[in-house]
Amino acid sequence: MNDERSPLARHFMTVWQRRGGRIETPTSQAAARLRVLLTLRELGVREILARPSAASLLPGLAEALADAGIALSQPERERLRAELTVGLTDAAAGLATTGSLVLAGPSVGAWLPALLPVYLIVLLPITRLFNDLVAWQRAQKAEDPVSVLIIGGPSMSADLEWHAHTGMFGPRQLHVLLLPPPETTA
Amino acid sequence: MPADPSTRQALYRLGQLVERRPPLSPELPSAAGEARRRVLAELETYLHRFEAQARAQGMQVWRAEDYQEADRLVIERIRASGCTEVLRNHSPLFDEIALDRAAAGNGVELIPIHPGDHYLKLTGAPPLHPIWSSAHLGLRHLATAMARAWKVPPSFDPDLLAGTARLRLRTLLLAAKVAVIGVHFAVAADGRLVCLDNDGHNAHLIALAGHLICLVGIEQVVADIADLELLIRAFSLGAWGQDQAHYVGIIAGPQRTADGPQQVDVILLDNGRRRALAAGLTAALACIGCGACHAVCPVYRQVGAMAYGRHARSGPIGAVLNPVMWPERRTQDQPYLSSGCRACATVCPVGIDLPELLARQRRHAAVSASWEERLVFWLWQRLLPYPRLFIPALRLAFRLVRRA
Repeated sequence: MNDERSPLARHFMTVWQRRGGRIETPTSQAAARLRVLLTLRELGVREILARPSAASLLPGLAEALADAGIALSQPERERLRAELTVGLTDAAAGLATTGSLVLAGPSVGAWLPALLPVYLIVLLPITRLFNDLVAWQRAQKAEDPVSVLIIGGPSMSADLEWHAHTGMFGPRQLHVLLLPPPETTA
Repeated sequence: MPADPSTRQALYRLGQLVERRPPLSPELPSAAGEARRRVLAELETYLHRFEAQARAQGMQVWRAEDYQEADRLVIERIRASGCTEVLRNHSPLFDEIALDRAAAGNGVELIPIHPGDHYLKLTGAPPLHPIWSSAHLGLRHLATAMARAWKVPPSFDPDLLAGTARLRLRTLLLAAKVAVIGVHFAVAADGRLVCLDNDGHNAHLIALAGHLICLVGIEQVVADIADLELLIRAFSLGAWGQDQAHYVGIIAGPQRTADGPQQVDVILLDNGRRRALAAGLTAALACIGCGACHAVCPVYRQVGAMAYGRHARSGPIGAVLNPVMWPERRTQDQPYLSSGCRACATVCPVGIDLPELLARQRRHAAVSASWEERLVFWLWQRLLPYPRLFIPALRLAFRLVRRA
């Protein structure tokens, strides 16, 4: 694990797990690819909703998924498919203080793979860990403000006589893969 | 009049949830309160900055002086879109401006997408609390209403009911064209709008609806991202006892691609807020609407939200603001809806000294009371030590108050 980011990573992991989120720290990009494949095989899906930038974050992932017979479907607002129960996305940042994920981009349509599925896999490079939202904002080069979605846990509702229901609108399970920096991988 | 037993039971349970939370760190209420007061001290400057930035992002911005103007602006925007069924999120602002009623009167159905608000619509019940709107609805009552409205077999299994609601609400979301959104914060520095929740309904509305009509109270403007981060934490702690809401959606205006909303309208609502500022209630307007004070207030737990009025704020903060913001709604006696126990002050994540504000409003009410009312209280004070005189005097006092 990158020394400079280690304290942030430890803090992020602690808070994330306290909220019931799943997190893993593959030691290499090959291990991360394998983790994605095994998870999807465990879930028994043949097609997932994926943000294009997520697949490109792990070189070779798209090909490996294709070889395994798993199709990547891009979200299109006009033709949404509610039956896709697994999503794959990348996070623009992980905020250690609050243990939350930041999804950012020029379009809110990019949020859809993180909102619609029941099970969400999030690829978070360790280099994208920041202390808080302000630290992340300072590190941004773009002048124009972007639409941002901050995810701090699964979709929860307790509106039915206090009965806690997970996965009310968005994912029931959030699975973060904290990716090592590319230069340290084999 | 006391609230019905199921409401009192739900409020008691809510109070227990809040009382069991770990105490707030002393730094948070003072820092968050300072962030709110800094903006309120120069509200017009920050509002202009927000308007300029929001317009630069491609949003259209309007100002509504009162609730009628806000209703008119929202309905005009909906009509222009050609939709008659519009989704809305969960926000106390809609009750404040009676938007559901105004929309229905204009042939538009506003469909709440927040599960709690949707359950309220199914049962016709009023909300319980600014955050936990439907916690007082009994499972059986709700199950029956769901079965009748959705033509599904009745079930009393909460998981099954929630699953059925999920399917219904997601189907509505996937077909969303226009959404009316009550916003939690508006950021002056960059013109962005912010919505928080734990279930994700706001993020879905933002990502799926092509046209967003956003309602913002003028006091909800925050200076910048640093203040926003602080206030997100304050709101999350006050509303749910968490460091961070599970979903925070930050909208930067209409999208440049086909994905996301193509039109974002923003309506800045005054509706008595400037009157409250002019009356020296800046400290009360620092409220972020998390509802923590409601949950611990022993008076609120007995009387419920409706005692404050269907279209007014409820709880201790309502008792302070309602008489000034909406005097025409028979709210003058509300500062007396308090036991003076200070429980509200200990849980407020922005450090509002509600007991002091309530005492202030009571003093104000006493000074502006009618001579009959003042006479009653003078007699009360004099006769209380003499029981033989007290009872007949009390009867006389009631008669006088009724006449007044």
